[in-house]
Amino acid sequence: MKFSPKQHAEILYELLEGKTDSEKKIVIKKLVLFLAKNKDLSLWKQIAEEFEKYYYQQKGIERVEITTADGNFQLPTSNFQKTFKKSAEIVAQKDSSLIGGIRIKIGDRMINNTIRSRLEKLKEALS
Amino acid sequence: MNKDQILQQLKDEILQIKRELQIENVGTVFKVGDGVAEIHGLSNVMYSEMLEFQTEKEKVYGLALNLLEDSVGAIILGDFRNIKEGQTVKGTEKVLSIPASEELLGRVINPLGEPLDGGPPLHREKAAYYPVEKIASGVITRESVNTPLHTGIKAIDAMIPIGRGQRELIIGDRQIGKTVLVTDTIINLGRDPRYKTPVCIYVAIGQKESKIAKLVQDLKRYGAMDYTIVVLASASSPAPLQYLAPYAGCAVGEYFMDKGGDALVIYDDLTKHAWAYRQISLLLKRPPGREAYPGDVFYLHSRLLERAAKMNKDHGGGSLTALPIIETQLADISAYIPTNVISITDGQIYLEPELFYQGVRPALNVGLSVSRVGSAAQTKAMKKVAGRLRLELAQFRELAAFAQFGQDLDEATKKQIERGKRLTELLKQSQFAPMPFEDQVCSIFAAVNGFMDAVPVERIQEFEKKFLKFLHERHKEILDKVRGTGDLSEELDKRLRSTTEDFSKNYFGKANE
Repeated sequence: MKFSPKQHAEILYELLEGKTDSEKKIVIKKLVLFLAKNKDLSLWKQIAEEFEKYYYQQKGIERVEITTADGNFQLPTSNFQKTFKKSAEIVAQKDSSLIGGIRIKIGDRMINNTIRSRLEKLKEALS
Repeated sequence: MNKDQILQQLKDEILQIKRELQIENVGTVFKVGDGVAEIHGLSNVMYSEMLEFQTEKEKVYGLALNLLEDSVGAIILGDFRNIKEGQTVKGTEKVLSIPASEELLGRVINPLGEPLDGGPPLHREKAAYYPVEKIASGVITRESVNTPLHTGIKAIDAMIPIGRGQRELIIGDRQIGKTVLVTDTIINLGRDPRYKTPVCIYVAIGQKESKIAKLVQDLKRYGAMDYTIVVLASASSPAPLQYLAPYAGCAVGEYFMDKGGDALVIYDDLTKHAWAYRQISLLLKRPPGREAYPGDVFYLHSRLLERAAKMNKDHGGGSLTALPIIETQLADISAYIPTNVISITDGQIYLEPELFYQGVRPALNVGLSVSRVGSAAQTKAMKKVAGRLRLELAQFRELAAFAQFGQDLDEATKKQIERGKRLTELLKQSQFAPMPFEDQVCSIFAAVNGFMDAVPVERIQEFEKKFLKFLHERHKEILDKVRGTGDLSEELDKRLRSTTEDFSKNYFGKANE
């Protein structure tokens, strides 16, 4: 029987819950063997993605990506928690093509206030 | 205007641009290939919403078609080679629309409304945006077909009349004159002084670009490009564009219909459209059905053709006529797509290879071709002469089968067959020679009233040509009256009869002696 990446991810999460580190290693090894047996190893990327999503969902954590031109922007997690009443994992990223400003991505939503996006809007308005 | 003024104006304009922060709905490309992409994220996307792929080179647009539990299947409306895994996709919160305006007349555009003919850029800010997918207008807003759409082809205008707002299918094998038929129709519509010239929209789906270049040249040569728009998704366009082309053409037609005008949309051809849709559906992993087409291939065409309409006076009185074309394989009209479209349309014009090779061009099979609503729109004059034409031809077909076996035929049968041969000859018409409706009436009048019975079959075309020349030179008032009133009154009938008699006895007959 074939399982979808989502099913794999959910089962993996349930199995890892409350386990010690050495036990976790065994579970992961078994999963890899199981995938190999079912010839599903190519799904690992999707499983990892789904696992991440499911993990955050279960723990009630939002993944927040903050991209700036220099990558030095720091936002204390407590600030986020205060405003949104939710814990967050904040990832700072660097993308020099943004020129300046900030881009915040929370799940599917994105707030784009970078110089590049403004220039693009200006270009659209002028053309 | 000096430099400073320009700069100041530019500054003012820039200051007016709103800089409000917006929360955007985004996703990431998970899989891409063959014009379709699988996207993760985009949780609030709508069906048929435009998506923006942020590639390194340029923005590429896409269309969300498959909304699944945790992914979105989208078709890519541009160069999909620049799209890579992991790129960001943005929802635009707009359904796909096409900018329509009078500026499009005479232009060749792609299904997204971008010019392809190398002409000047189109002013999008002046255009009205029409959604490509739209639910057809309802019953309350419509009225029945009542205005003719003259094709200029005798056989069609007499026996399979088309009305404005009708959907008439043109069906036949490849290389049989389907496109020629519609080109002639477009040319003729510009010459019809009695009725408004409709805006003609020729939608080319999966056609060779050389064929379209030739078609545009021909239309230009006959001055028909002034009121024509070509929507082109050629054979080299990606399948998503071919799939969108007819809807885009229809949306442009609706723009002109909503303004109270008439529009004619030609879909050349819907077979290739169904192929493109099949390709997209299979790539999006929708389950295949008969002939590997997806389950909704009927809806694909029915929702498109249902948008053809004749609006009533309260709703502008405009009309949108649809002439879809279907290419059959080995004259098989009972295949999946042909039967579907036959059942959707208000009739079909069936072109037959056998007739084509016999030299009957247009190769119209009068027996299998029908028009279910067009007769309501036919002019009275044409109705009077065409009724007899249809009957005579039907009788001829029946007798012609018999005549092949026996030699001993009675006089009446022989006469009937001879008449039929002449009528068939009369209905032949060459390319780029559409005929005004009043000429058609007079010419068919002469044939069904027996004035051509004495003329040898091979000279029928010559007789017709000379007869019409005679009428135009000496009895123009008859033609004017037929055109003006649209009727053949008793008095006019008498005059036309005596004139025809005069011509066949004293002119055509004399010249032969």
